[in-house]
Amino acid sequence: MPAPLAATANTPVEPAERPAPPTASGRDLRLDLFRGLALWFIFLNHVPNNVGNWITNRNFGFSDATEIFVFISGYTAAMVYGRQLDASGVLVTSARILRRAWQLYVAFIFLFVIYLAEISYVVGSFENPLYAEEMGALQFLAEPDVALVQALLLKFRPANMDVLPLYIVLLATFPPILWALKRWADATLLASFLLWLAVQFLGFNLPGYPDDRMWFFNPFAWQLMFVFGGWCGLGGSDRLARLVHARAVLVLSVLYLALSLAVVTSWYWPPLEGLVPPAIGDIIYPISKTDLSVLRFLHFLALAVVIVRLIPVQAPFLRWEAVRPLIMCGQHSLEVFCFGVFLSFAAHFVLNEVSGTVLMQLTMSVSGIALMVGLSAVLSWYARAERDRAARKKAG
Amino acid sequence: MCAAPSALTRAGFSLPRLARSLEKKEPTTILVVNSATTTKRLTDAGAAGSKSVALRSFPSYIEETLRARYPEGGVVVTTRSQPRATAETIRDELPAMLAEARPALVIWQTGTFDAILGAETSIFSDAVDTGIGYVHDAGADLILVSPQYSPRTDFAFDIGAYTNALRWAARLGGVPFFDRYAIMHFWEDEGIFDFDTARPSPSLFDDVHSCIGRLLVGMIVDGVDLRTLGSR
Repeated sequence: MPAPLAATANTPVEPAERPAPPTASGRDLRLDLFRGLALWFIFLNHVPNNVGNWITNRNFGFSDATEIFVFISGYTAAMVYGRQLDASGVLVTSARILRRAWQLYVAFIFLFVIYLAEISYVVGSFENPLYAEEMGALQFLAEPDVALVQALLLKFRPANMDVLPLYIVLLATFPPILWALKRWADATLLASFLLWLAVQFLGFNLPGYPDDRMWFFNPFAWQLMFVFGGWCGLGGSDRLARLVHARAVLVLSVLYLALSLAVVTSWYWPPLEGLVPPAIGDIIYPISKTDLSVLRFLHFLALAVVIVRLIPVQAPFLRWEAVRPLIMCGQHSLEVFCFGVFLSFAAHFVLNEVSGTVLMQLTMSVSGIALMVGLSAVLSWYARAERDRAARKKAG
Repeated sequence: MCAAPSALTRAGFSLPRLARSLEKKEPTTILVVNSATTTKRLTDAGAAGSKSVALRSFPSYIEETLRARYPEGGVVVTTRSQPRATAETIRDELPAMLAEARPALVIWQTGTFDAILGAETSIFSDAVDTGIGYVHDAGADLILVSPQYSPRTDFAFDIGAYTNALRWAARLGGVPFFDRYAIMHFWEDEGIFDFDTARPSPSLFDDVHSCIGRLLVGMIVDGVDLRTLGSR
C-alpha cells in the first residue's frame, strides 16, 4: 500500500481494520495533498522579503493557505476522532483530542522560546538611535515575567505563530463539538454559522498582548471553517456532492474565482488600478482575515468546488512519486507546521545576516521545503516501523 | 550620498495649495506628523557620552532647506510627534491638529506602530484614506511617508504590507508618496548606508535624517513646480 495508513491524528497504532472511507484505496489523498500544499505556502508566506511567496495562493484570490489548513484539519479531525468515538466512546476520544491539543501547546511554547532567543539576540546586540521606535517595540522583554505569562496564556503570539494558538483553541474545544456533530450535524453547523455571523456584526474577539492587540485569527470566527470541515468529514461532503457537481455551482465558482483574481491583482498590478469602483470598494473592503470575511469564506468554497471537480478522488496523479512529498507533509501536519515556523525564522535570519539576494531567497525557499519533506519522510518511516513492530507483537 | 532613484523621489502629484501659499509669499506652515521618539533619547545619549551630540531628525532639515529655497514669506515647520499611535489614532486627532496649525502642507509619516501592533492593513488603509480627506478638506496638501527600513526588526513585524497600503492610498488619493522604506532599502543595497551593523557610525542618524529631509524637500519642490507648469 503506497500511502501510509498512519492518520494525521496522534494514534501511534492504528487498528488494522478500519471502516472503509469513501474510496476503496483508503484515505482521500487529496486532503493530504492540499494540506501539504497549504503547509508549504504557509512557510513561504512567513519568510518576509522572499520572492518564493509570489507563487502562493494568497496572491491569486481572497482566501489563502490558512483556510485550506483549518478546513482540512477540521475534516480529518472529525473523520479520525469520529471513528474513534464510535469504537472507544466519548471519554477516551475526548482525552485523545485533548492530548493532541496539549502537544500543540507544548510545540507553541517551544517555538516561542526560539523566537524569544532571536529577539533577545537582536535587542541585546544592536543599539542604533535610528531604530529607537522599532527596537522599543521589542522592549517588552524588559519585563520577561509578564511576556512569558502572556505567552503561556496564548495572549502573546509573535508574528507568524498565530495559526498555532488558533489550532490549539479549536482542538481543545473540539470534544463537545465533535459529540454534537455526530448527533445533530446540521444543527451544530448552524450554531457555528450563527456564532460566526455574530462576530461579523458584533466584532468580539479574544484579547492579546502587548498593548491592545487582539487575536490575529479570531477563534470565534474561524471556528466556522473548522466545524464546516468537520461537518464535511462526517459525511456532509457526500450530501453536498449533488450541489458541488451542479453545473450552475461550478460556473458561479469559476466566475467568483476570476473576479477575485482580478480584484486581488489590482492591488499590486498598476494597469488594473481602479478596477474596483469606490462604491463597491466601500461595501467589500475591508476583507477581514481576522474575522474570516464572508468574501474569503466564499472564495475558499469556490476554490474547493473547482478543485473537487478538477481532481477526482481516484486521480492517478495522486499516486505519482512526484506528489508523494506533498502528501507526506500533509500527513504529518503538526510536526511539519511547527518545523515550518522554525524554518521561516531561520530563513529570515540567514536572509538578514548572510545575504538577501533573490538567489538566496530561492535557495532558502527550496531548502526549507526540502527539509520539511525530509522531516515528514522520517516521521512516515518511524510510523511504519512502529506499526510493523505492533503487528509483529500481535501476530507473535 | 543622498542619491536615490528618481522614481522614488518624484512627487507624481502636484501640491497646488502649498504652491499658492508660497507664490503669495505669505507665512507658510508645514505640519509634520510623525512617530519620532528620538528627542527623548537625546539626553540619555548625552549623559553617557562626554559631549552631547544633538540628533536632528528630518523635519528640522526640511525647514532649513525650504527657507533657503523660498526666502520670502517664511516657511515654518511644526512637528507633532506621536510615538505609539496607529493611523486610526492619528486620523481621529488630525482635525484638531489641522485647525490649530492651519498648514499648507502636511507630511504624514505613519505605519510603524500599525505594523508593530499587527493592525489589519485594511483598517490601516481606511484610516489613511479618511486622513487624506481631512487634510484636503482643511485646504492643505499632503505627502505620505512610509515607515523606515529596519532590517533588524522585520522578523518581528512586517512593514511591507503597510508600505504597500500607503502606496495605494496615496495613488488613489492623488497625493505624493515618499517611500522612505524603499529609499533606505536602496541605500542599504547600494552600500551607501549600513543599517544592519551592530556598531553604527555615530553620524548615521544625522546622515540618514538629513538625506531624508533633503529628498523630501526635493519632492516638495517637484510637487510645487508641477502645479506651476500646469497653470501656465
